[in-house]
Amino acid sequence: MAVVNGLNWSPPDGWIQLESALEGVEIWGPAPVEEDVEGPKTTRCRSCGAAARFDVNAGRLACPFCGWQDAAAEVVGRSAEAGEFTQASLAAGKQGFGVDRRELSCEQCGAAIALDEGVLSASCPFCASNQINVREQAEASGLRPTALVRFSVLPKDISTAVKTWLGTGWFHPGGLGSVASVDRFMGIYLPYWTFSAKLDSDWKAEVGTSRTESYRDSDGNHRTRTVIDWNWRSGHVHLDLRDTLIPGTTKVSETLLGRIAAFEMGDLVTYDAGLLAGWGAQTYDRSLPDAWEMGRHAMRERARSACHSDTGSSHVRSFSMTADLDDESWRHVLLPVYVSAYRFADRTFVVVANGQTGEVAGQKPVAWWKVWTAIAAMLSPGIITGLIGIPLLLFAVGIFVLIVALIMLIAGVIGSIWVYNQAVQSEAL
Amino acid sequence: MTVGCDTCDARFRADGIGAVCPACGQGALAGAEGGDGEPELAIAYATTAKGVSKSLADYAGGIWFPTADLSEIPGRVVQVWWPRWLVDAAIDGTWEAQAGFDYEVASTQEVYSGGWTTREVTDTRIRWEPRAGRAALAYDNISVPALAIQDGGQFSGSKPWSEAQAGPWIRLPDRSQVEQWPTAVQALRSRVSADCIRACSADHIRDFYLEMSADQADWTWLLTPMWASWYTDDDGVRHVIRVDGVSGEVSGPRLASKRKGRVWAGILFSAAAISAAVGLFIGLIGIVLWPLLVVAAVLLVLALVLACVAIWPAVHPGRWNKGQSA
Repeated sequence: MAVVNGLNWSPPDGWIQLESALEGVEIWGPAPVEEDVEGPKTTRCRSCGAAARFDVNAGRLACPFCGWQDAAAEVVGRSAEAGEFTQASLAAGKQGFGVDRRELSCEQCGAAIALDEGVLSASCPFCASNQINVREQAEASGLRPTALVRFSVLPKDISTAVKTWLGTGWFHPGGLGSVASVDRFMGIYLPYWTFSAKLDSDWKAEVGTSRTESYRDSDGNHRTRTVIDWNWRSGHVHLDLRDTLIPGTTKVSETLLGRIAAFEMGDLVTYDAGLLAGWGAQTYDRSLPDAWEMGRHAMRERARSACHSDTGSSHVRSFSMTADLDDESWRHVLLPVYVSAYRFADRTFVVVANGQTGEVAGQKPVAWWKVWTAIAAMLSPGIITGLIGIPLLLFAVGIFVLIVALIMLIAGVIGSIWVYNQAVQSEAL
Repeated sequence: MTVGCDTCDARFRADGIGAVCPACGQGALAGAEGGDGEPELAIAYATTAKGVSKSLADYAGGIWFPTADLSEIPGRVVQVWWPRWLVDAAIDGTWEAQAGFDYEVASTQEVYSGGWTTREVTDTRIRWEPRAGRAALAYDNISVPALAIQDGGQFSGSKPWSEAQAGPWIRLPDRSQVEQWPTAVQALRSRVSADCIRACSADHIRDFYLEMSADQADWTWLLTPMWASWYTDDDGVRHVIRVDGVSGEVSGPRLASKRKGRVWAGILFSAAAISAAVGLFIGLIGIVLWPLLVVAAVLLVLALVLACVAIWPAVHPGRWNKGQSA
């Protein structure tokens, strides 16, 4: 403590002395925040000592035996800690968070627990204790999650929703909802990257405006036609894009995750390993630079779409634009997803559900005979009408019948392609 | 001996009773009291009287319609030592600030022209961090004005004063060390602030707050080299022109003569009037003798041009002098 101007001066609590570039000047600053490098630990009830786990109904860590509940996590929403694209964060984002352990000794019963690749939490199969912080700290560790959205839908509700979902749709095998044996739903926190940025776009294009003009044909008859006048135009579009979601895992189908991606990011809470207790959690295997590449592509496509809308016309050519990104930021968050699989006709199908909203997506088997029948039904009116129209060509009415047949055939082809695509997508992973 | 000006109260150590005051140029110097103490340091002249006379001649010749007496300034230049105080002090204090450190973030600019191309861009941002600490520093030769009206500044290259350097004029301080201590403290605060910023190795500083005490003041009387001259304007008011003895920089108002401007305006306007009269006369003859109408038109245009040009000498000296006063 120094005595200055007759007053005692001491640095604020938590400050440390820093290196000074000039003799005679002391410098103090806040001590750097130490990264939490806690090792594996068991989440225990602070009341009865039993294994505690995250309770969906309570929305916090709770004891299933005595009813003890931990303090509720603070909802930070969209103000959850975000990072910038510094050289350091990009380098850290290239490597995973910690390194994989192959085996963990249960803190409760001492049993050896085999761990899967990339897990963040585990449960002991012998004493049912819930282990968190199971990753081994590497010297140069990657990026930890900063926030997560808690599970708010119970597994039994998901099972019901999946049964209902399986029963919908006409081109699936009959009784799919009741016949398919859906395995136990596994609630797992999947890693996601969220990206936010401001985009300023300048576009330039030839924009066409259509008008009707009158003219006389070679026979001197008065006729009208539509012509398009092309003019160069330019404009500016500003977009504030927030929380573009990119999955941080490649283990689950990106297509399926895309269908349940409507997470409410306003429910984000600050990351606490205790919230993972009793639930599965994965670390990212898609690096920050790779995810940002995908996020950036999604953002610039939205900017392109917004610029196209800004032209105010459906006739656009020689389109060019720039998109300047500013205030880019990222977050590494964990989002709740239920993953399961079911067997039907000796085939396995994957189904996922949003653990926050209950939205379900997945693979469904297709009864192809129904699809082909539907396609045949859609094409046959055009074909039959055409066949009738051919002999009628001998009469004046034949040409009109053939035109109607052609229109019906085109409509049938379009409908058939749509049905076929739906069927293919339904089975696709 | 000590002489003083009854107009500006400046005092000089010089044998100059009855001379024009080199400080204000207004009063005549008379015997005065005081003038104790001896200068301790001086900065040597880096300019010569011949060079200064040439600089003053150039300075006086660089304007339109100069006051007649302005051309006399090279002949009236005198060598005058100008006083300053140097103070040595030690400070002890505490400070706090927000220190800003530059860091780089990767950004991109996307360009679409049939397909996308990406250009990598690096942006520089500032990370602000709180800093605080204690400063115990000692400073030598903080420059403080010794006159009521005197610019700030830092002076280097001073050497011990000797009477051999004296010259005809030495201006005496009109502010004591006690009176100038608050000014010295202000100068010290600026130096301490700059040093705290340097100590942080920060790229930027904001919200800087310093609380300090300073003591152990040791004062030194420094003489700085100066040249002074004067001239009288149209209204009989004298103005002083000074030349820095080290840099040779000339300062002081150089006024244009409004009287001279008016004379030139009168000449040009008269010429315009004569031209207009002759033009009109020839124009009247031109009614009969048509070719003369061309000559009349030329003369009338000339008259118009001269009348317009005559405005400039009438207006310019006043506007120029206003700028000099500012």
